[in-house]
Amino acid sequence: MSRKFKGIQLMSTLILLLLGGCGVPATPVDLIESPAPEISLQNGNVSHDLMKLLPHKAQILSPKQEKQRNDISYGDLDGDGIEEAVIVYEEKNETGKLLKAALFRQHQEQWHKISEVEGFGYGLDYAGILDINHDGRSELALGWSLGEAGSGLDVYGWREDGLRLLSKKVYQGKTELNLK
Amino acid sequence: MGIRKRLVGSYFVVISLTVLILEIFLIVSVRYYYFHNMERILMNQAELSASFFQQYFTDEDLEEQSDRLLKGFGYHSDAQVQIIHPSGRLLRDSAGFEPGMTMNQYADVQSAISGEPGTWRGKDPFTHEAVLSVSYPLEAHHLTVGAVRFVTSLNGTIATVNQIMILLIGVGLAVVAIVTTLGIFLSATITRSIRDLKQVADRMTEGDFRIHVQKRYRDELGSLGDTLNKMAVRIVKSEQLKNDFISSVSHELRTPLTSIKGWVITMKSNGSVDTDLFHEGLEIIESESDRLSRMVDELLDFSKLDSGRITLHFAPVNLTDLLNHIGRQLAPRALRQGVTLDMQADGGLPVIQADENRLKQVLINLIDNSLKFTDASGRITVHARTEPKQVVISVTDTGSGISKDQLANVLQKFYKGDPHAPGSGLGLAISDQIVKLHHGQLSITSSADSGTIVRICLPIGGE
Repeated sequence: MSRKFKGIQLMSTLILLLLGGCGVPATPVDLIESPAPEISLQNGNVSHDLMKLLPHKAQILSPKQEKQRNDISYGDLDGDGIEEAVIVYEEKNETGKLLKAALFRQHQEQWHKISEVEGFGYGLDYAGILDINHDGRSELALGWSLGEAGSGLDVYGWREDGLRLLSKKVYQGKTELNLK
Repeated sequence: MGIRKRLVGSYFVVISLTVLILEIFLIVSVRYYYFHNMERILMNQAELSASFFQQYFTDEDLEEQSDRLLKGFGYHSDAQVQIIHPSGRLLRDSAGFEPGMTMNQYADVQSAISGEPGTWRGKDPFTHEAVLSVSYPLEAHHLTVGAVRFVTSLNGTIATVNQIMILLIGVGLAVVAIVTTLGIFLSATITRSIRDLKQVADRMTEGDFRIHVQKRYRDELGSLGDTLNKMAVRIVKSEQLKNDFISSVSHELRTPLTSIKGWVITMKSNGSVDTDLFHEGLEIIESESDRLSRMVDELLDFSKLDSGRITLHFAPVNLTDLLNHIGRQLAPRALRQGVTLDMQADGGLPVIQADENRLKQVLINLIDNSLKFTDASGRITVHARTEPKQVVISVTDTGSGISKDQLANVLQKFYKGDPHAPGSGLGLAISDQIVKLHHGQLSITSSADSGTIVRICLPIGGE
């Protein structure tokens, strides 16, 4: 009898811990994620270094518009002659997922995260570093997508020691994304 | 079987209660899990849509771009999507409802229009279908310009939850059924032992003590069975002892009576002629009467001791005097048998509290026993000495000794080493009782051929 009671106690304690201690358990939707990205890391050491700087369990997003599907965009944002790198990734939190773009700078052979901006919508449509407003300096362009409703383009420029939002606009499909 | 019903009943109650608690807990958890997650998924979608709108689509009028927005908001979602004007008017609906309907009656819409996200669960007023809806305000330049609303039917969820509930209840009932069946079999292991015991006890009540309990398990009931068996053996043995006692006592009582009667007849016919014969006859009759009365006294003593009616008269006793007195009393008999009787008392023996007559009776009884079993040229030593907190009197003889299996029984009443030996078989049992009443202890060590040592330990405290 006592053994039976003990079993029940243990079981209910476990269930209580599971449900009570940790809140509502994760739903199957939350649990879907790609396996550890070891395979995609084989092509270069740079991406490996950069991905180590991302938060744990961050999932890297590739822009839908790019043909090569580059995970990382390079370009000289601050004008010092050395290329910076941008990675867009998705991070899960308690209420849902967050889209973020992280900017990395190389300093003495080491990559450092120097800035981070948040994105919106379902996913990434475009990411690139190029001179959009023809001022001689490159800007960071990030296109966020909300499905068929359209996409939003954020343009960030490097000012002093951080990214500044220069403009926001809506565009539809690739035809409207005329960056040149 | 009462016990069986009770056992199975308690199994049933315990497991039912356990299953019930678990079921309630699991069902509530499953319901909460499903409904909470439905709401969360819709809320996330609404929040994502609204924040994208706030970032990029604020410049255009909501109504004008509502068609396009609807497609984007409903992307990847099977829920019904609605875009609502701040006045509560329906602008667009993914399910194809006519725009222009007033949506103000829904609590979630009211909440969203006033700027706060809202949820609502209830029945659709037209189809009476259970639905869950989530509304989120659409803001442009810090003003609420409308709301996006996601509506899902709960029929599928309710059906799934019910399905899980039925499954859980089914499993619970199966568990109760299995455990109850198991309980019936398990309880048999207990009830069978009890039934056996009861049967045997019934037979014993009827007087059949040859029956034995078959032990099934080495548990409490098993040891109870052992106890019952032992009890039966003892009852049989004491029955045997009683019968032996009656026959031996009858015999014992008859011997002096026969002798007395024989002498009376002799004296009747010849007594008037032969005076010597007459006197001899009277003497023998007197001594035989003494023997008879001693035996009757012993029997009375024993019955008193056995029923606890005897009372001791404690008084200070000088052991040295007592031993000397007994020595003088028994010396003639020892001399007659050719046995050396040696009374030794250590110096400085304390005066103890005891009933002198009873103590004397014990010692005489012990020495009498030794005399019975010691051949001529043997030796009996009575020695009293002091030990911490007690006085030890030992009676050592060089007699025939007592064999091991007899030794265990000599203190038992009615027991006699030889059933045909004279005496009642009560002497040692009475002595043991008396010593116990003195809070002392009587122990016998003996081995066949080398003689016997009886030790009486009496506490000095004199309680």
